Amino acid sequence: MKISRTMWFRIAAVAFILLIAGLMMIIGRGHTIYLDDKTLEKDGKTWQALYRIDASVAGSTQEPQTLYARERVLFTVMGQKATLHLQYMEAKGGDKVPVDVSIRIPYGMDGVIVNLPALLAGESQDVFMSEFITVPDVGDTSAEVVVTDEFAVTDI
Amino acid sequence: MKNRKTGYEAPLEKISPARKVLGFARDNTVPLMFILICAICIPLSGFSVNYLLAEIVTRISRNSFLILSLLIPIMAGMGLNFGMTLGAMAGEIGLILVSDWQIWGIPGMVLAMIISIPISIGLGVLCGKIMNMAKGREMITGYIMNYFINGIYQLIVLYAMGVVIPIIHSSIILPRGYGIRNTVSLLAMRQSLDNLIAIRINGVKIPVMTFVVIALLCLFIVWFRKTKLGQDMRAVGQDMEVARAAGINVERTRIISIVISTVLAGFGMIIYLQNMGNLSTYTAHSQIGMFCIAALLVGGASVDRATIGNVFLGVTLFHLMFIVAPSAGTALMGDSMIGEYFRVFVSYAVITLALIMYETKKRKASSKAGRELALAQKLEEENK
Repeated sequence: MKISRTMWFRIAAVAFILLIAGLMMIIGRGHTIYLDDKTLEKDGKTWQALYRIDASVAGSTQEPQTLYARERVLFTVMGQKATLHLQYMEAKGGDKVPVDVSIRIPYGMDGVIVNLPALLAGESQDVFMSEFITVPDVGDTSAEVVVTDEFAVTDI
Repeated sequence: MKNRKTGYEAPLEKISPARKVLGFARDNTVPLMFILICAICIPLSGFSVNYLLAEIVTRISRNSFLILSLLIPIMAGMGLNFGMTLGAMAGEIGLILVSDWQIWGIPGMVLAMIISIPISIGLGVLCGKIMNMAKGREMITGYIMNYFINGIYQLIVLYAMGVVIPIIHSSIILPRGYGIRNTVSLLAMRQSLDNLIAIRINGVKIPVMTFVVIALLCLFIVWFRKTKLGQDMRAVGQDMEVARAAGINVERTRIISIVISTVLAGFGMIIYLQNMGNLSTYTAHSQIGMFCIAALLVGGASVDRATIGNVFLGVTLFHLMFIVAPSAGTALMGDSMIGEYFRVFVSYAVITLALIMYETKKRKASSKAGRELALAQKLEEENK
């Protein structure tokens, strides 16, 4: 069967649109990064929480945030790569040490917890990163009544 | 000047300025009525010029794309496409899916648009085919079709999503485990297009990128009118039988016009909702067709003629009324709900008025044509 020129153009157009869709799925994938300044214990090792960390994410519109020991802040990022600009102080009155770290966020994870003490100690991603799992609220099965009233008076 | 023999008015009569003004007023009754309403309501509302400007700019950027999607079917003589609601539903399905897949910002919008395209095309073809079976009654057919497709939309969104179509996020899915919540948050893409390039003049935010997109659609419409297909649509719009005799596939041309309108409405709905920042799953699309059509008519368009200028004048006047009516109602009656009801009542009233005026004009034109034909026949008989 011979495919006409018009058909080739159509196939190319559909392929191009699918390519854009695929690209959008990769570059637009949103993740929430939860940055923890908490003591982490894993495989018999311990990473102590730091006194203070100033954190920001490259390309994010969010303001830089400050964490003290046992605190958590969150940033939202698009794409699988995030560059963290960190400035940490190990103990009160100590020197501020600036560090830039790039992390890769797995595509399938909506939210990741990054333990900053472990990250700053140079540990591998398996150690400092874990998935943030949201527990759905199962107690309100009758809480939301679906409204399908098309005559409702609304603003536009 | 009257013809002495027949008593009928001569066709080439000199029109006086007063009659010109009267004719202009008759042709632009709806826009003039709205200018009058706004002129009364604006001082009563007590809003500052800056506030009104900011609101109007936001609403023009939010609604214009949707309203522009109505122009092509009008060109093809299919009247005001109430079927645009089908495209809006397709856009909403795209947004629900990208929200669940966590695709944010502009990429999320683009992906939602891509997802909406096949759905819009499918619904557009269905709508076009049904409208071809109901020629001359396209508007009511499209309006009733909305209810039919809305039922299917609700079936999919309320029962299939979460069961057949995987939806995993608890913020989107109903607590029972299937069906979508009443409101889906679009916070991750809220005003992402508007804020891409935005400038502030005197505190009024101008969403430049959104206006660029709207301008591109305007250019597309202007260009499209000049293409072979655009010319075919205009020919079909003027006279289907003549167009058919000229070798134009009338049915196919009409279906294409509805498909283009439905696809554009899907895009428009995504632009509209990214500005709002949330999606009312079951009601967002239901009145959108009505309000867009009302806005277009307020701009001076009619069932068989609409221009890009009508879109912008309409959206400005109609939304100005929407903004000032509640406050004007409070000032006049001490109750803002008066204004709320007033603006909804006016939306429906303006469509009714425009349809009545269109029918009256059509009847007048046909009666004038009949008179001229009778006159011509009489003169011919007398000459014999």
